[in-house]
Amino acid sequence: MAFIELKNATYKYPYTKEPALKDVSYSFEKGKFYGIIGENGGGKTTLCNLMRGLIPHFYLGKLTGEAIIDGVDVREWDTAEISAQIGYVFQNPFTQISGIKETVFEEVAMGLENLGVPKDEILDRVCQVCRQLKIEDLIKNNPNELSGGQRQRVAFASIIVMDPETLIIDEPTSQLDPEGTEDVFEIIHTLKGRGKTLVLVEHKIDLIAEYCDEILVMQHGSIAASGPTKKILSDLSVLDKGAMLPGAAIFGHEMQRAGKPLREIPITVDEAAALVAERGKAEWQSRLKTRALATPTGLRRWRTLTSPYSPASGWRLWGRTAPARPPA
Amino acid sequence: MDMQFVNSFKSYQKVGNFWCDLYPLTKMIICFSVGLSTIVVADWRYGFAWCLFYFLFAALAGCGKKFAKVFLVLFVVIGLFLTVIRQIGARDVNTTVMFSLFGWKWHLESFVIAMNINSYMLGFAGAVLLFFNTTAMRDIMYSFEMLGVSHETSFIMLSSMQNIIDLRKTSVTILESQKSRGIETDGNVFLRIKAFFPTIGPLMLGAFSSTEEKSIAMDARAFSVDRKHTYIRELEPMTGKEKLLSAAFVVALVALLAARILLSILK
Repeated sequence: MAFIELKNATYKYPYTKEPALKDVSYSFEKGKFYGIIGENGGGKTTLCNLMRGLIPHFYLGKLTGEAIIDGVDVREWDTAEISAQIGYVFQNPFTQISGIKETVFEEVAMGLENLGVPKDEILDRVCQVCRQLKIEDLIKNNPNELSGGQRQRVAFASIIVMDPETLIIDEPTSQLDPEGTEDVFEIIHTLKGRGKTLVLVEHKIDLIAEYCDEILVMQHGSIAASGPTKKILSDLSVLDKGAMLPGAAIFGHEMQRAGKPLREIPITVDEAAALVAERGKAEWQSRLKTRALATPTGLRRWRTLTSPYSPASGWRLWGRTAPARPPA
Repeated sequence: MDMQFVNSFKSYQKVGNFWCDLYPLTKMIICFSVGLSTIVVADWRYGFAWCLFYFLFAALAGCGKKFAKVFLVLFVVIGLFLTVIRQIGARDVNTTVMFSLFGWKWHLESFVIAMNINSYMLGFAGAVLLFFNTTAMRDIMYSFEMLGVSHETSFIMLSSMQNIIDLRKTSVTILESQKSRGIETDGNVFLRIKAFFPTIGPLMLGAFSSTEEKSIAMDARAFSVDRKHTYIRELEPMTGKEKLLSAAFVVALVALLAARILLSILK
């Protein structure tokens, strides 16, 4: 079931000549994890703003076409109510801190206070999220005195603690180190496991390949390519659309070019390792067979290795073994 | 996770100091009643006696040094200014000359009038300063919200304070970046002013842009959702004793005012 549906959505910011979004149509299904990639100025953030209802309520301008959120046109939604349904974490961590709370703990709790959640529940949920995001050591610190990376974690925690059905995340790891990035992606993955709908704008393509179900490639305000992650990120033509390919896919294409193709183009490191192992095993078996046919010793060895019966280990059929003689 | 800190939200916020733990409105009523009473009485003995009490209260509240630093500056600046102004405007008719300074006569009557004015100016300023030194802005806004002030107003007040700090930090960053491009930002006053003016543009534009982003961030935190808010940080409401204390100060102020009016009529 589509939670957000865009039908020929075109949007132009005020005082600009060119539309930032051109004729965008796409259905975002409930419970799926979408990745939005593409070059800078391609319309990724504008698309997020539309899906979050900031267009046309906050950013005035000209919106044509339809943007339907949970069955209701975005123009008819109350922006305050959307915020309870759709969480939004955006790029700049420095402006996401309220500036009115004196501790990180209170900062993270602010959204729940606004929603009127009972105090005991707030305390439990904030503790849980702080542990998840590894900011428990910061809870007493002043949020206005944190580093960029720490603020990014706090801003992310402040939104996920509200437990919205859908989460739109615009480059949540731009200020984080590799370890912090992994942590954030682990949490995003956990949220997906809890049935949340996730839309992520990110340049770290290897992580997108690992976690996302579907990919949208944005170029010049339009969707240049879209579909399942495997299909999009294994296709070389994506490079012409201003997007990057994951390292594993590039490796797969290089292998193909070198005349040693893998069974399919991998998009993650794990897939690449499995495919390389598979290819190596097949190559080794074929080499052994050639040697076996060449010499009588090799032939005997080949038979021993491939025969379903050996006096020592018994019968081996379809991966299962049976003793040579039944036990007395 | 510091569970002691987390559990501290389960009870009323207290610091263990009698004056600081009073409800902000109680402190406000006391301070403003005392401050206004110095204006009503307008006598240097009464006003300065309260000024001494302010020092004592500030010291007991643990912010004596901070209070004294600002209050003494006020004391010197306002005190000196008003005293000198009164002496300049003094006439030589039926007055007692205290001393003469390079031919400039200082009159006792003008001095007493200046002291009286000083006492209520400093008496009121000191009371306000004591209140803001011993009460956090967020506590003041919390008590106002409890009275029915909207949380939007409260947010504007509190974030304005933070915005001043942020703008100062941004202006330093802009000046530093200009310096790294070879523009002279250090030197005499004129040079500093010359370097400062070009920073106003980017500073203001940056402030506008961050305000836009901040409002989106607040919207993402359900700030404008029309529901009853929860406060994880709660202050103990005004107790019966506090109500009595506040009422006593207000009654005393009204009594002083009535006495003052009565005395002026009888004169």
